[in-house]
Amino acid sequence: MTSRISKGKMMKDGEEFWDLRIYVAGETPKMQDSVRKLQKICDEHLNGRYSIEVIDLMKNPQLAAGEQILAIPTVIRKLPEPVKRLIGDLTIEEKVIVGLDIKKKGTI
Amino acid sequence: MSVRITCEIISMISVMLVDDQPEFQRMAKKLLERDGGLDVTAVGSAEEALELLNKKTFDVIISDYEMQGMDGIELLETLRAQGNDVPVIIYASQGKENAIIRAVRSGAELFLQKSADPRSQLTELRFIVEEIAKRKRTESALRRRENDFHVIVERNADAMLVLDNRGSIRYANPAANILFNMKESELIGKVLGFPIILQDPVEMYIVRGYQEFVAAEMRMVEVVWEEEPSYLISFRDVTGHVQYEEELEERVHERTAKLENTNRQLLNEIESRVAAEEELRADIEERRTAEEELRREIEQREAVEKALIETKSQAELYLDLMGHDINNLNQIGIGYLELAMELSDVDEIKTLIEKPLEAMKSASEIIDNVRKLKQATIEHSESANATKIININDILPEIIKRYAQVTGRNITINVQSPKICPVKANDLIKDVFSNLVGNSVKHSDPIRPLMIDINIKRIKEKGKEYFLCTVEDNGPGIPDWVKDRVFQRFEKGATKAKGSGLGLYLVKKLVDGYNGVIWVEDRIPGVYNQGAKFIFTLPVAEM
Repeated sequence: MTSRISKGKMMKDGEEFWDLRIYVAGETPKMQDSVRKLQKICDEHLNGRYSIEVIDLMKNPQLAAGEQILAIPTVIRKLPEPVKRLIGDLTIEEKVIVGLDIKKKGTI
Repeated sequence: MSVRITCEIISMISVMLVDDQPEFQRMAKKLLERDGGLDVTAVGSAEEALELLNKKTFDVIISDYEMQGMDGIELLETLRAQGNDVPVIIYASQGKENAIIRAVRSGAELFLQKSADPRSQLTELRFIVEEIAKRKRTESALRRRENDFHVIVERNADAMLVLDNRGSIRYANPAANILFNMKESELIGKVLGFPIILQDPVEMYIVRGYQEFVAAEMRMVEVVWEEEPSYLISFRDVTGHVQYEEELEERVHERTAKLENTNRQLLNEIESRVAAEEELRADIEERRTAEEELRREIEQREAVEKALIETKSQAELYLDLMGHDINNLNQIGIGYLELAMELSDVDEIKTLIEKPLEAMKSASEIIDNVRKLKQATIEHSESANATKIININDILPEIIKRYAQVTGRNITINVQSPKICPVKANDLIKDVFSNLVGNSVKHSDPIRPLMIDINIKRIKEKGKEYFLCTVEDNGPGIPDWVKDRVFQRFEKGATKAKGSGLGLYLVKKLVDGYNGVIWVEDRIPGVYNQGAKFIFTLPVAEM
């Protein structure tokens, strides 16, 4: 099934919560690397205000159509809005930070 | 993908000049070609121009508006209608303003009104032509390249998508439609995602039709697409490659396992070999030690044997000394003493002589026995070995004669034996019987009559035949405590009889030498003092 990494804390006023989903295929070392790296980035920049849902499409292929996932790995930023999507090599930290717009939004 | 922009070398600019006034033609051609950058072909009419354009292309056309037949603007319109977009410059005399509007509408590059100073105007026109030609060449090159780019993307075997800066699909080539299993119209507008990628390709999975996973390598270049900054993404299907890699990995894994197994076996073998070698080395060491010990033992034995040989030769020397020289002296002594006995009439003197005579005779007997022992035990001469076949019956009469007729004694010797008693022995066999009979005589009471029975029986036991010989007497017998020791060296009997103590020792040695056994019993079992019974065996020899 899916697994969720959640670091929810009491939110202060005006603080945003980051709801991320990562779509992977199987538990290959590369996929695990992608999840770990994303978690590391969130740990470093989002001060515990995030949750990452890991969705393994090998186990739940039916979930691909719902979110219209065309490539793996895909990260979807559900929150904060607007929704953003990333594909590619999620271990390239600086590009992921830019792609998810973390610096601007995440920094207090 | 990269788009390479090459700068084309500006070569000679080809210009077609259309004017029906030959004078103007000449002047204009001359002025335009002055700097050498323009190559001007002059024609006299629009029709002529169209005909030439069928064969040749020009960078720029300069045409007079008013001409016989087709005018300049009609020429321009014809060209545009034919799809020819060559830049056309129209010039006309003053006062033809209405022509300006027509010319611009028809797509003229420039409309000129002839000035009063055509020379300076033509010089200026030369620069304008050069500019137009350059721009036109650049434009057409760009168009060509853009066209090429489209063709490349369109026909590429890799799936190609153009994404906007949100990751939305703006274009998909036919290969992308196949890879994603979606029509272009379905793909356009979908959000693939903002591509995270550097120079190197990224391995990913494409979710074909939201169902199937296809391993693909993603590459990206930033491009301007329809005047917007965009990402051109390509996906290369590497399923085969991935499968190959997986198979390769599997094979490598198998090989590694096999190799490890082989290594392990090899190591075990090496270990057992090392152990075996160690064992062998220990074995060799042990053997070497044993050999060393054996060598030492052999050396010791050789030394002992050498010493023995030396001792033996020494003993032989002493025996020879005693056997010959002392015995000779003894015999001389005995001879003189016997002579003295005969010559003396005094009994006291006779008694005195008798003692040393007996002593010397005993000494002679000892010497004789020792000599015989030497023959039986030390010497290995033929005479000493049991090499002859002797009939015991042949030797007994001499012994009976010698002992039955001792003066002053009543001795009876009875013999019972088969007719022939062949044994493998030597001449010393006589000493066996003479010693036993002699002992009976020597140890018996001189006053009482002595009865000696010699009995020989042929016996067969366990497939072997031998003679069982007994020599028994009615003498004083042998006490049990002495029986065990009578055959020992220098062991005398229980009586006070004189003797060397070598007689029975010699008998035993001789019987042993003839492969027989000897022992002593009581004549009457359990009563030792009623006489002794010597029993010995001798194997029967084939006659």
